[in-house]
Parts: sequence; C-alpha cells; structure tokens
Amino acid sequence: MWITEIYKHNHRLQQLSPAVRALYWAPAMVLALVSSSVYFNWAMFALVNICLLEISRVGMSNLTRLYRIPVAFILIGCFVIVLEIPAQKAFITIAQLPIGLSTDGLQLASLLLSRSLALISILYFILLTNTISEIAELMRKCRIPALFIDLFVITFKFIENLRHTSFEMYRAQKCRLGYSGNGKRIPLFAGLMAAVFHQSMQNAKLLETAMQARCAGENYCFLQNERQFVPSQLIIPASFVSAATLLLLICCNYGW
Amino acid sequence: MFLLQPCSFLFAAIMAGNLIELKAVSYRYPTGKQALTEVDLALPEGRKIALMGANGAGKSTLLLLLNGIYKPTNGELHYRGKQYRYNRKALQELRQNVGIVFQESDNQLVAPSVYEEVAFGLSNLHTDKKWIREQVENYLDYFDLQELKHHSPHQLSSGQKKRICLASILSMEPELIVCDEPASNLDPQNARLTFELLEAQNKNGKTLLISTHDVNQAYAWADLVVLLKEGRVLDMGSPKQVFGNAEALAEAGLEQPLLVKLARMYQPALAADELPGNETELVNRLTKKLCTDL
Ligand SMILES: Nc1ncnc2c1ncn2[C@@H]1O[C@H](COP(=O)(O)OP(=O)(O)OP(=O)(O)O)[C@@H](O)[C@H]1O
Ligand SMILES: [Mg+2]
Repeated sequence: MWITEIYKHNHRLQQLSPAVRALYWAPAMVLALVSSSVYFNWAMFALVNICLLEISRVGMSNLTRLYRIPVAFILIGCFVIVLEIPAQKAFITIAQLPIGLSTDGLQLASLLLSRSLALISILYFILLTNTISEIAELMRKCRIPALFIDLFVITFKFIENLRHTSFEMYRAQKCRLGYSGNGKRIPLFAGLMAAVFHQSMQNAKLLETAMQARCAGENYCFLQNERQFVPSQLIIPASFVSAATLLLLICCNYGW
Repeated sequence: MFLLQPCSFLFAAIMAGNLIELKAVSYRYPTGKQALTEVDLALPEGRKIALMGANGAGKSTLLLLLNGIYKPTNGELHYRGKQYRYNRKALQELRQNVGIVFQESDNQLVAPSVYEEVAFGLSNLHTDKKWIREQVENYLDYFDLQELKHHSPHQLSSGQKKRICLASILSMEPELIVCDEPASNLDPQNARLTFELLEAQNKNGKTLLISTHDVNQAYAWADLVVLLKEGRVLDMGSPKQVFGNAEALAEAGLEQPLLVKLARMYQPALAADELPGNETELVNRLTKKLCTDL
C-alpha cells in the first residue's frame, strides 16, 4: 500500500493553496508535540482521522490499512518499554526469570503510543491532502534549503518507483506460476529483489533523461494550478485550532 | 528518372533549408554496443519525416542524439548550420527547439498531476508564471485534458498518457517535434487522432520527425522516409521511392505497404514514382482498367 495509490485528487482541500492547507495540520502538529496529556492525544488522533475520512475522501478500509505497519512497529516498541525484567510483581516466570509489567513503563508507553499515533495521523493528513510537489512547494516557501527539498522529492520518487516496479514484477512472476511451490519461494524472492533494484535504477535513469530533454534544471520546479486566496478560507482552520487549544488547556488544567 | 527524383528532392531541401544535419555521426553505448555507424542525414525544415527500421535498428538512439541527450562518439551534428555544443546553455537552447516525445510514456511522466506535467517543461524555460498558466490552459484545452488536469498521470490509460506527453512537449513550442513511435500501443482511433494532432502542428510550420515500423502509416503520411538498418542509413527519399524499392525494404526487415503490394500485384513492373499515393488513386486505376477491359 502506498500513499499515491489511494490519494484522491478531488479531496476537499483541493481548492486551497498548500499554505492555507498547512493551517489545518501545522497547529495540530505543534499541539500534539507539546501535549503530554494522553487524553488529548487520543482526542487529537480521533479528530484527525474523522477529518481525514471526510476531507481526503479516502475509504475507511484503506485508511486502516495504512496504519498497519506503523502501529505494528510502535506496539513492539511499547511492549519493550512496558516489560520489566526482573519484575517485583511477576506476571509469568520463564527460566526462573520473573517477567512483569511496570507501572511507570505502562504510563510511558501509553503516552508514547497516543502521541505517535496522533503524529502519524497528522502525517497521513499531510500526505493525503497534498501531492509531493505541493509539499515541496511549501518547503520552498519555508526557505528550507533546496538540497533538502530535492533529496526529499527524489527519495519519495524513488520509493514510489521501487514499489511500482516490484509490484509489476511480482505480478508478472505470479502470472507465470512463480511462488507456487514452497521450496522455490525464497530463491525466487531473492531474484525478484535483485531484478527490482536493477529495473528501478533503470527507470530512474530513463526518467532523468526525459526530464533533461525538457530542460530540467538542478531543482525540481513544478508549477501548480493557481488557487485563489479568500480570507473566509481561514475560518474553519482557525475554529479547529482554537477548539483544539482549548481542549489541551482543559486537559492540562485538570492534569489528565 | 530514378536519378531525377532524389535530385529534385535535394533541391527542395536546399530551398527550404535544413534544420538539422548529421555528418558521419556514430554512437556507441557505454556497454560497447555500436548503435549508429557513420550516419549522414539532413532533416529539411517544415517536412514530415518518418524514420523507419526494424526493432533495434537504432531509431531511438538517433532521436536522443538530436536532442543532445547523447553525444556522438564520432561525427558532428548541426542545428541550422551551427555545430552542436554540449555546454549547459547551448543544450538548454537546443532542447527548447527540439522537443522529444519518448517511446514509453511512463518514462516521461514525472509530475504528480497532469497540470504540473504539462507545465513542467515550460516552467524550466520561462519565469513568467502568468504566461505559463495561460499556455498550459490552452494546451489542456487543445488536447482535451481539462477534465483530467488534477489526476495523477500514472493512473491513466496509455492513450491518455500519450496525449499528456504530447501536450507537455508541444506546449514548449519546439521547432522540431521528435516522436518515438507516437502510435505504439494506441488503438486505431487514438493513433489516428495523434497523427492528426501532429499533422496540425506541421501545418503551423513545425518540422516533424517520427520513428515507426508501421509502413502503411509512413507511406500515407510522410514527405521523406529514412530507412535505417543496424545503425546505418540504408535508403532515403520520398515514400514512393523508398517503399517502391522492395529489396531495400526487405533488407531493412520491413514489409511493403499494402498499397504498394496491391499496385504491384496488378502491375508488377510499376515504377516507383508511378505508385498510387492513396487508396482512392488505386481504386480509380483498377476501376478504369476494369472499364476498358469490359
Ligand atoms: N541503454 C543502452 N545501453 C546499451 N545498448 C543499448 C541501449 N539502448 C539501446 N541499445 C542497443 O542499441 C541498439 C539500437 O537500439 P534502439 O533503442 O535505438 O533501437 P530502436 O530502433 O529504437 O528499436 P525499437 O524499434 O525496438 O524501439 C540495439 O541493438 C540496442 O540493443
Ligand atoms: Mg525505439
């Protein structure tokens, strides 16, 4: 699963310029970073996902599938934090080693889990409401050095290319009945990986040639569709921001 | 008579002036594969030129040389009489004048949306954003792409991708439009549409160079045909002349066009310049023969 595959070009923020779009996610990101309240983080996570479903027009099933990999990684990380070896209150004992859960660890893990999920959801929000060139454009406006922007764009393109190539090749091999016998899987897979890398490098080179043929300079400059700015566009993000800030203040006030 | 025609052609070419000249150009890939050997070629301005050859004849390589992507290992290229230089500024200028549409659309599409794809070349060349936007809108209209402008080019059909590639090159308004197999994997209707679009560009004074192995298309469409075989120019001239030469065609690994085949079936000794130019001409001849026979 790759973002560009489920990205819907007709998402609801499409008429807004990337700078105005940033008002939707940038404050949320700042708040999620500064908050140390588990409740606030979960609320943020829920809110962002609801907005995502509504704004990006991505389906529920696709969205949940997007979370699979990051959640798996975070859970493993949290699990390690939560475990206490040797524990005072043993949970189980394996080979005379008392294994248990630590209360501090539990607290930390829940904070970690909620905060990372909130941040990841915001990241998905960015990626599902902006194309790569719009993000690059925004970075350029923020005066981020061109080198970083290019690196970012190239990495993104390369991953996309790699993913696309591997998918095509895997499908082609499957059509020729590869991967059917159990013993043949691993060597086939290794061959596939080698072929995918080779092919991706080749594709990247061809793409580069085609860009050169159109006088591409050092940095990628894409010209986007022009978008009108109207002050009324600020109303919704401003109300969201104030509501979220209020929520955070309440959470902090009550020490949640 | 056989001598006369190349001469008259040459004369016409000199009158119009040559856009690009290749002088004994050879190209060897870094892998050691000799793709082109001693190619001498002149592309007259304002013509429709078809570059023909079997798979692996070196068509794509030749086209990339014209755009300055590859530098010949031997020989010289001239644009309007001036030798190619391979520094940044000269290349920029050259590539503005020589637009190339690649064989595989997927290798050409870089931007995340159709709009940005069409604007890509233009924004590399110009700084006036307002003008670029107008230009992009014009070409989106012209190529009937307005509805797709926010779509990702990678999620479209081959025909649509081809149209986008054409639009993105033509919007840069090059003098020479180079298309590598413009009709490859297009359905007949889209192929015809593509050729019509190219034809319209030619009417506006652009020089066209396409590579193809479709002999029927080339016969009906081109003003000048260049026959390549294993990196060498085998034959060159008007379609009737080149396609009337059955031996050269066979040597290049190409078939005769259907019209030529039919005409020769009916009159085996038909000279090259007496070949029918289109279907109507052939049918007229046949019916006339039928009438006199009756
Ligand atoms: N990147 C490359 N590296 C090495 N050799 C190459 C490369 N590209 C092409 N060749 C070789 O150069 C020769 C000419 O290839 P080219 O792509 O120009 O043929 P073509 O006439 O365009 O064929 P087709 O009709 O199949 O597109 C071929 O023998 C090919 O194997
Ligand atoms: Mg080719």
